[in-house]
Amino acid sequence: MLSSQPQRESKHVSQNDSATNTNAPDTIQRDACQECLLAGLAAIGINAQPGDTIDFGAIDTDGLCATLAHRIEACLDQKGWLVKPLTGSFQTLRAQGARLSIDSLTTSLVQLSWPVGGQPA
Amino acid sequence: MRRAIAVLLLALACALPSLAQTQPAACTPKLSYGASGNLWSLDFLGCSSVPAFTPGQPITLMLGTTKFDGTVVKFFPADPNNPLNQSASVVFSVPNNGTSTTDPIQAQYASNTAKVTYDGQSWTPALAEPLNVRTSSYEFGPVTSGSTEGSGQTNTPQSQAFRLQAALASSYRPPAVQSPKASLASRLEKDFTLSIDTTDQQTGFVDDNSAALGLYVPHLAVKDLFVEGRLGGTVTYSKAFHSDTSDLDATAELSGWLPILQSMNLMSSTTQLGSPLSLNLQYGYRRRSESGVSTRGEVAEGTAGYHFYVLDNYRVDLIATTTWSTANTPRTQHWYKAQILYASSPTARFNIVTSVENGSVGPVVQKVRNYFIGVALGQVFEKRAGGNQ
Repeated sequence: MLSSQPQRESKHVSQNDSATNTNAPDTIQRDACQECLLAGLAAIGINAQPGDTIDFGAIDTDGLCATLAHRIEACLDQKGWLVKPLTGSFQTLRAQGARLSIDSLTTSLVQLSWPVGGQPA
Repeated sequence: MRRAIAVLLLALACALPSLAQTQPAACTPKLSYGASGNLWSLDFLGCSSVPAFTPGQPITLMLGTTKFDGTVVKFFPADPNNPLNQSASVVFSVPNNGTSTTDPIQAQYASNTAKVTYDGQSWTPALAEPLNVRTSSYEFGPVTSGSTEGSGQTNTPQSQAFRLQAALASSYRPPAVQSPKASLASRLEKDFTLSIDTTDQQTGFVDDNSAALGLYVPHLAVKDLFVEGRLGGTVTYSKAFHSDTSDLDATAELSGWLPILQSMNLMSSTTQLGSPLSLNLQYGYRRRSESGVSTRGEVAEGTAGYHFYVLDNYRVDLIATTTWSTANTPRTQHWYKAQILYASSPTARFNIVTSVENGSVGPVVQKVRNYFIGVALGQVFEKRAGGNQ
């Protein structure tokens, strides 16, 4: 019940990942990014809904930003997507005190992610 | 009152030259690693001259004295419309079975320096998750105690003072993503903090200064109840500058965030969220020295932090501490601080407008009430390896 540091996430990608589903790939990618974003926020205690705004200036430490980034990266990997490492980006947003909607953050993730085994756009 | 106005004007006069000058943003590259795909990212924060990296080309990463051969995966030009890509960045892969048998992520946590080389150019970035983190901050400014009307009438000898707050912290932080073979020592967080919070007045104002050493197991979680928790022990020495009172505490500590209490939004049209309720609980033993007399007893302390929003444009940051010790007289101390922040638009950042503090804290058990208003000269910076060659 009490979990400690997460182990290194597996780099293996399932054959049934969302990235190989040919139905509405843009929607699938966006859904994956939003789902992983919300999961990452939950990992640092922020239970956000799709219509909420995240106040990065009220995220208490840079360490939480690192945890948020790695949770999103690992989640997208499990769904068949790779993304630019995000720790530096989230720490910059915290330093700026940026306030961003879930929708805009999801769009940002879509633009910075690509399917595993594919080429980035 | 006149003195407070004069001090504010002096502070403004000191601040105006720096506000008038437009300082160019310094080029401070930052290196991050990803949790998957052996990916690393070099973000060129504030850098104007960035080469166009070509996917597939070789790139070298040096972590401490260990060299890794990588391959460029993707170059993202700066995109002002993408908040996660405000600066240009290059993503590259560094396999952990390349030219070195050392896992590059473990190598990062074994060093404080990094160097990235591409096509004859080199950069020395700061590490987004360095092994050792050193931070420092300071604030200096006028503070008013007692009368809220500014009439100068108060029970204390002085109603105004200059307050100095300075903090220095050094922390060894183990990685959030851990190798299964990592040793127990490398999984523990080790912290040292030095804190000064005092004024130029002998009485009537806060005088809480301390040095602390801590050892913790970080990244603990209980699903839906407790996240990013930390369990360990702390030794703290606190001393008042204007008296001979001091405390030496040895405590067990548990801290973390509680998702059950999310940020509230009062009378707001939008839902804004920051970190939920934070909690820090300590219990142990205290030795107090006062006027040459030592007293020993138990000590327990709880600190809670919380953010909430009002009318969309206001944020209130609260922090409160209650300390109970059989070595103190009286045994219980309460202290709280509320900061009110304002944002001029839905996209602007929140800035501190006023700070209210009340209660007693530190080795000098004296009730103080401070209002820290207006311009405060402050600077927060982190010292890490960094720079551009």
